Amino acid sequence: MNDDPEDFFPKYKEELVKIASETDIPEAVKRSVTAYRVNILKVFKSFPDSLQLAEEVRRIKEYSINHIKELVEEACESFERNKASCYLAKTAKEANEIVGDLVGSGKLVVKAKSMVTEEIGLREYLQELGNEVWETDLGELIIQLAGERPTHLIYPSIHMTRERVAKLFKEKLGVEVEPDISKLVATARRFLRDKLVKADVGISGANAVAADSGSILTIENESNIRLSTALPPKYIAVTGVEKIVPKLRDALTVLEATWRFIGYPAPSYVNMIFSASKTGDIENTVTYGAQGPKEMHVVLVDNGRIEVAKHPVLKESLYCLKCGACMFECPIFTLVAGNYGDKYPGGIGLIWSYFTGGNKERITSMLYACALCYRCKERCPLKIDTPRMITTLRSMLVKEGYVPPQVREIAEETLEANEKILEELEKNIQKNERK
Amino acid sequence: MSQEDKVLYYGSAYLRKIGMQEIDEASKKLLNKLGINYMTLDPEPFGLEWIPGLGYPEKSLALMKKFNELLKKINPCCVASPLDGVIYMWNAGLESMGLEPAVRFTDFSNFLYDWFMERGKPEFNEYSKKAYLHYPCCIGRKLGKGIYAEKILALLKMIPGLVIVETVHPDVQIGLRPPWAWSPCALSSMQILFPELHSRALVEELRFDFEAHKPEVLVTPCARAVWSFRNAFEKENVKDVEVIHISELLLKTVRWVS
Repeated sequence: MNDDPEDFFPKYKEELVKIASETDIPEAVKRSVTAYRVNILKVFKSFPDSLQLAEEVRRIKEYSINHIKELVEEACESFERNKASCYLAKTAKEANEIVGDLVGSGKLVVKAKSMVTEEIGLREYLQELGNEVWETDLGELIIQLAGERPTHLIYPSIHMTRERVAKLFKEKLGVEVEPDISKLVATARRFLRDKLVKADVGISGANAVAADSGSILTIENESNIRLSTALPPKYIAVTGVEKIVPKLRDALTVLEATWRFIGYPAPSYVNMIFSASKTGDIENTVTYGAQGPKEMHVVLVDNGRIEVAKHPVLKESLYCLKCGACMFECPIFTLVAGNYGDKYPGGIGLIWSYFTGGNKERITSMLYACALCYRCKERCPLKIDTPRMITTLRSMLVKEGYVPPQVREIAEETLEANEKILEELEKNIQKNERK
Repeated sequence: MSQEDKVLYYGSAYLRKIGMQEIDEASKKLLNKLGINYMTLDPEPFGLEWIPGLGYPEKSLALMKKFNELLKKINPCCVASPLDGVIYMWNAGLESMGLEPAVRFTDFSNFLYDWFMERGKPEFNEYSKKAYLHYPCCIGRKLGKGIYAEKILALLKMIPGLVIVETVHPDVQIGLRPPWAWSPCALSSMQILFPELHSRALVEELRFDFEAHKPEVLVTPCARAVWSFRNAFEKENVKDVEVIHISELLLKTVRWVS
């Protein structure tokens, strides 16, 4: 905590005001929100059962979070049965160390987009060990080159206009390219193909993990996850324990709801990985290390999740599919993108940032930017009550001494004034009764 | 002491605090014009309903409990308020804190609608304008009930000539959800803590709907929303849409009362 805890609010508030008024971020987000509205309309028209599907996913997630510890054990047993090694990392530090030991140093590492690896700072950790690490999702690559953090769960570079991306590619990749989206995509493709083919290690996250079969499931459009998880000789999956669901069919239901609420009628690819590559083509004897990875490792990250799963209100945050739909409806997000957030962007991101060890002063300030309009809950496929979690967290942080002075002043003055008013009102009522 | 034939009109003190006394006056004039027997509190509590959300639930709940006990003694037929945050807190909010309101709290326009249904509709002057109906999130999305919104819409439909338009949110367009579920928020709390961002965010909230409908008037039953919209429109130079509270609109249009 800061020496003068009252000082922090203006700093973060000013940061948001500056972003909204002095950058092209609102324009970039405006374009994305407009596109999202068109996409989601198409999805709901084509798949009118999307809300029912989401209700099913809600039930799956409720069960899974209530049985999180048992599912971690079951998933690990299943992975081991599939000859993949499984690790449970209690903290971010532990997760980084496990992956660091598996990767070593002096390696070329390709990574698929994963919020949990952002949460633990894995790329930076592996780079410090002397590895060359590349994000292979285009949005993540843009963010990596810009030295920034993702500003949306699905579209990490949503805050950047094409003009800014072209400028960035020129500066960081030395490639002169017009601010034309297809030309920018082609430039990234050329750059990343080379890295993907030569990589020693591939890392991905997961959209869901099936405990019964020990499988990692991912959704993607770019094919970078396929390539990152299939081409390098070593594959490491790093994912949060909250992604585990009991059965493979549950995981598939989770995936379908996720892509629909992202705004895709269908993603380009769904990947299911159960083990390292293998063959039984000679004498029907299973041998690992066929054309794809020779080894597969799964790192399940706790980092506060198992503890928050016990909280009566905040545990709902663990149901989040990370589809990012809520952000397109959030009034503050449309002005400042993921700068409204901390480790994780957006309203629900503040809850995640809190239990994964984010900056409490920043989180507190951002919590009060929420207008409690409930649009996020309305849009959320699982009807996660983020506004309720936000007010709960506000109250928890007030008790810890984190509250903007302006808020404290309003609250205390109102409470004090009303105390007097109610006393006087009571006297007046008694007087009237006597009359 | 029983006042069960009288409605308790609540919200004047808070409306004065935010400079919206004209809505308070319009609401009271309307009650008088309609011949509705009402009472007010002296002194009147204010703003308590917004304090739990700021992170002080226990202290505000203690005061609301006391207020609730006093309401039991006053015993009005119901409490009607043009502040929809009040309705939310005295219904769902209070319930979530394990407290039952001593009397029914209802939105002012809903109260009027019920009154008209029970005692007969007044006659209205024509009001030929295209009005964008803002359903406050406090009595729509937040409560998750359509009943308040339905009555608001029915009440406005009594005014001849008034063309009502609603949100064009994608879910509403394909009938997946009713308009009250997606009506933009007036972002009034943002106006208090983040005034520098408030007006831009609010105009952006209304962008799709205003582009689609080009309304002449924005009408809402929530006085705090009026406060927020008027300030934002002034800052952002939105001159072609007038913001009007339902009480003001009804006061203008109610012609004859039986």
